[in-house]
Amino acid sequence: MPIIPIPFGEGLQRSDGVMVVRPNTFSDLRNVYQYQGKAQARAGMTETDRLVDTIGGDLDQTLALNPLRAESAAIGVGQDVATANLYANRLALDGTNATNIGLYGTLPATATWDPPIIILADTDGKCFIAHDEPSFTSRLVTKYYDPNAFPTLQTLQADLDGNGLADVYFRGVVRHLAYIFGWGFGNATVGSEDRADVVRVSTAGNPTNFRDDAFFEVGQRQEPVMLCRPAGQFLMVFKETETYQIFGYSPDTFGIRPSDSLFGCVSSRLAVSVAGTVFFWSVQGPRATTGGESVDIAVPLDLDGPDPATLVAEADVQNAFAEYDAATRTVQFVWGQRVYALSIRDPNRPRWSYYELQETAQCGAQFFTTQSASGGGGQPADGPEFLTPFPTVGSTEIEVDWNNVGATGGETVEIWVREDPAGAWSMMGSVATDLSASQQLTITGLTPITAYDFAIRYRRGGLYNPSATDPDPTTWPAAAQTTETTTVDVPVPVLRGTNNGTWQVASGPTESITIEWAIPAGHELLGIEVEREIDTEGNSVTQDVDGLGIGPPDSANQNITPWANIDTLAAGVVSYTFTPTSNRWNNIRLRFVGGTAYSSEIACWAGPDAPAADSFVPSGDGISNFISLSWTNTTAPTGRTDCPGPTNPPADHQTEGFFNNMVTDPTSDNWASGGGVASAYSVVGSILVQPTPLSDGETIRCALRHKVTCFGTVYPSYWARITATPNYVATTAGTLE
Amino acid sequence: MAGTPIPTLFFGGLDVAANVLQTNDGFQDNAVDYIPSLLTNPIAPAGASGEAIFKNAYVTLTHSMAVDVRITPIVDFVALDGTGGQPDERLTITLADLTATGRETDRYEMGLSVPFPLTGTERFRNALRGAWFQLLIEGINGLAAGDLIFEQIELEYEVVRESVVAETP
Repeated sequence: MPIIPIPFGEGLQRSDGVMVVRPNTFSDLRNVYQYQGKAQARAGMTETDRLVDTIGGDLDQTLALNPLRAESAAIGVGQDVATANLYANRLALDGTNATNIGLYGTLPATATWDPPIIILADTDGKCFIAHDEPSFTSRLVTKYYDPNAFPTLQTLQADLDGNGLADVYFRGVVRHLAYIFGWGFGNATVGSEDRADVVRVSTAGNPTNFRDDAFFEVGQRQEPVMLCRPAGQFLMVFKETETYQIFGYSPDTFGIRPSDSLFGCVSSRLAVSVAGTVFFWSVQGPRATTGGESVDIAVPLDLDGPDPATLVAEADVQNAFAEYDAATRTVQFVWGQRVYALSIRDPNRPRWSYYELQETAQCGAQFFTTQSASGGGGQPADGPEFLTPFPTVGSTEIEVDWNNVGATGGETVEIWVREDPAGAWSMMGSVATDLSASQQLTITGLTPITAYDFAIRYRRGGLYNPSATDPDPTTWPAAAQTTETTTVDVPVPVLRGTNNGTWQVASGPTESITIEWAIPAGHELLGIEVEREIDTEGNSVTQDVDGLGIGPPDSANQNITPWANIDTLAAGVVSYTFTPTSNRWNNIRLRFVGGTAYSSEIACWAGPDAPAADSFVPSGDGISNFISLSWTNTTAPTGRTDCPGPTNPPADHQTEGFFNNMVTDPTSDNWASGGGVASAYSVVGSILVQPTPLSDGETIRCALRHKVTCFGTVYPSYWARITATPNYVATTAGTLE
Repeated sequence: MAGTPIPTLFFGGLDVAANVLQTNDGFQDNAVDYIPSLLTNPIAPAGASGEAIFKNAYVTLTHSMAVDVRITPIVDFVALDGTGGQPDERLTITLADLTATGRETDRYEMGLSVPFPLTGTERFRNALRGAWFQLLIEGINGLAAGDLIFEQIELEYEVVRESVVAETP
């Protein structure tokens, strides 16, 4: 009897019908990969680590992975679904040691896709992170990880419209030659941001620098570029149904031309470069190009045929991606749990099979072992020690100092920080070691009057010094740990001349004063204590012992009541209204809850303002021994609102004038009216007073105040006073006290 | 190649936290079993309208893992797996754990026949006859450490009646 072989051959075929299918194609090949005429069961997948938001918090979804070849490390981006926060992580090349390196962004609720599509690319020791979001308004800014910068996650900025640096919002990034190419962003000018057809290129060897004139407009305007992949010396630019080729190697030689007018790539990650060939998924299935027109590699894959019974469903197209597995030499188009695996061990006879993953894959990457990179020096020695106490401790930042004990070069120092004692650790500093001296790094963004734990270790590539390999910094050596507490600033009162509050009278009558202040940055979460003292004074020589009344405020307080808390306000409050003690200086000072230092004092007069300082002019009348007190109410008093009513100011304002003969005793408070009279308010006015005795060269003191009647009650201002030595013939101004 | 570092493909997962998954590692997907399966295309040794006797199938396996492999014959698109009133003519091959000693390659012969039952008792067996023949080869009960390679599948048959070739009048 004849025996015929049923060889493992070209892959999968059903749709052509039994009369046509060849015996070396199979109806179903699942969880095997083909090579050299046989099929081998694929190996499995092992969890090496989980991306984290902090030391203690696993993220929910891994969105992107990428090698960081220059550092012998890898980068991952994951999402915390509850908060929609996307965090970047650094990984060792074996997929372990996931450490949070910063918040990439918060996915807007309006984003088109959730999970979001994140695209990474590494070059020059940096890893770029782009958010492939069709809606520009929901797109996250492009950032890059620089392990030797602080913070390590930097926002990519460029001046692309001549109006200065602005944030860049690429949909995707790829490295090619010595450049980073980014697509999907025009420039920061309103209306020009969303340019789906634009591919921009960085300057050579400087991937964070983009010139405004270095870009390509690819094909039809607004038809989006899906992705770019290198094909040897070319960079292939895929739209959905066409492909272009960027050729050249420098800005002088770069150019672009069509390469395939029928086929493009259907999503932003469904293409992979392998040895000069780009394998991609078109609207008619997988194809390949080496720079020119693409060729069909879908046969025999049998996409047109019915799916094999029980084959796991495939993911949505935007979640699909392509990667190359060097171990099995397979190009894998991963659609969630379903994988179309193309064995290219024999490039002339590609063979297809299916993988059914038992867990949904959202992203993938090859991690390269690069022995000659900076991380190739092996595990760093133990050693970094804090120099404590830290020399500069502020309210929101602390300068961290340390000695690089044991360092030999090539290490990166990681500074980890948490709120003491139970906060979550996060890496807030990453800087290359400097072997010449101790080093410093200022950690910013801290909360005032808060204790922080600090920890330090070395990293080289994906390896840490032996005593600090545990992700929990509390297990690291004692010299690599310390605690410091931030200080606190004080609120900054808004000062308005001498009468700083906004005085008002409501029916009743009821007086109120409203004060305002500013909160220093970083103190927005602290409550505020308000304290008050009641001050009769006042100039120290013009106390209220002569019946004249209270003068302007000064430092020589004459307290009626000492400082006392009158209220404690919630965090973030920037104004406060209180009922003052009438006809007195109500002094206010502020401090943050938990703090000890007070703000400067706010002196608030419970009443109208005194006559303006620059308008109070005593002078001789030029005729007799009379003094003329003149004023001009041309400047509206600041910081106060007069009472309402039909007899509102200025109609019912009055101005009073007094004088004091200071000839024999300059500190005398022997005030007398001496002919001073109350005068009806007027914008410009004067009164005459006649001090006795009075001669040229003698010094006198004069006083003026306003009065206002509100709801039948007269409210005076404090007295504005002036010392003068008038020439009674000529007109000489005095000096305001 | 010894000592040459090969890039390792990693996947990022969605289902079990934000995990990082190293591929080509182990024999489970993050502790969950999966099985390989192969279904040949239908072949008709005697032609589409002919008839053949399918006598034996041969499956050559190279393995080091301990695993059970099950082979199911399918004749004229009907699986002889014990369902739908069909006899269960599946063959299960139990492979031993050879990870300590190395791989082993064996050719397994599967006799193809169906029972002739009479009053519930198998009296004799008939050779499988039909036009179209397929084999389903699949692992069962998950995989284990080691390799499992499907080297070759062969079919022994005898033509009973050739297919009639249509002639154009």
